[in-house]
Amino acid sequence: MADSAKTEEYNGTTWVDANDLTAAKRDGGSAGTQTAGLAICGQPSPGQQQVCYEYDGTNWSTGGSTATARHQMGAWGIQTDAVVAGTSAYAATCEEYDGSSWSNIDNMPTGKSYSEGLGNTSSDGLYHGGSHTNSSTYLDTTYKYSTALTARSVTAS
Amino acid sequence: MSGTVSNNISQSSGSITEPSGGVEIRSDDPTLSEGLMWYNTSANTLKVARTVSAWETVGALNTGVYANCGSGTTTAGLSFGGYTGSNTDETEEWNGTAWTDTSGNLASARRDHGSAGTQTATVAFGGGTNSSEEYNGTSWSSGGTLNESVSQTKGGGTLTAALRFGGET
Repeated sequence: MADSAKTEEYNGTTWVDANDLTAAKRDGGSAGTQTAGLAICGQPSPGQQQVCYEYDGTNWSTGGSTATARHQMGAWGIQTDAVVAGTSAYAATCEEYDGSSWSNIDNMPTGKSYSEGLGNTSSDGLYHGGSHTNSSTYLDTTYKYSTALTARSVTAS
Repeated sequence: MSGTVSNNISQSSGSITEPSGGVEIRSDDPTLSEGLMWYNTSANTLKVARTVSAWETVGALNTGVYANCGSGTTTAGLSFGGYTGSNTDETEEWNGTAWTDTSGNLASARRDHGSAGTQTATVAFGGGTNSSEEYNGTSWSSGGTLNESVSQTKGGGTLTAALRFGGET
């Protein structure tokens, strides 16, 4: 077994080779589109990564690194507005990307790994399935992450 | 912030003088924008607009699974494949509230695959194979062949403009 750096593009009919990732990786997260993609963390053998790569439709370049090394996690969003959630160690930690840097956001209710994320923006995502505590656990839990602009009362402290 | 709000912030009556600048005084809440601050005379409360985030537990999948794939949005999502003790072809649709088990399962059970697309136009690829499948909202059919047999690969984009990268070969 070997890690792959291969990149391919699909037009609905045919897969065509494109320029390789900066470095081979597997089991990371992804966000974005064919012309603005984001490869998040992952695992070269051995060890898991913090490094992320950005795709501009032709070439990959190095983007911001997450605070926590991750693989077997979920992600969603676009290249400039993404979330990554979980780790292979069933951590509940999550981070948000703004196109330049990652910052920590609220933890999910219970840590899990091998879950899948979906959603088009960092402020509206779904994290479903996965495992926790051991690899023979198959979770049906779905967590939703959302943000909202709200009117907050200012109180003295 | 400048200006003076009369000393009735903690009182239930009295008048409030609008300052020459700074915090707006009004009887209702304005259209919100991040960081906007105002004094609401109806609530006798100083308020500020802030973005807050939250996780919540929502409807569960019909079948527990890991190493599955997803596509779409939080109001129209799709989950397919994965591992449930063996590789699965299970496909479920999310409507914003609940997951529904569809009759249109993957032609080939797969896990650690990649995906791109929406609930009604998705491509699933790889997962220990070089094959891909396309979902039209009802059923899966064969798609194009990848240039390598791969698992633990990832992707993004749409069914007709998809990207896939990395993995284990």
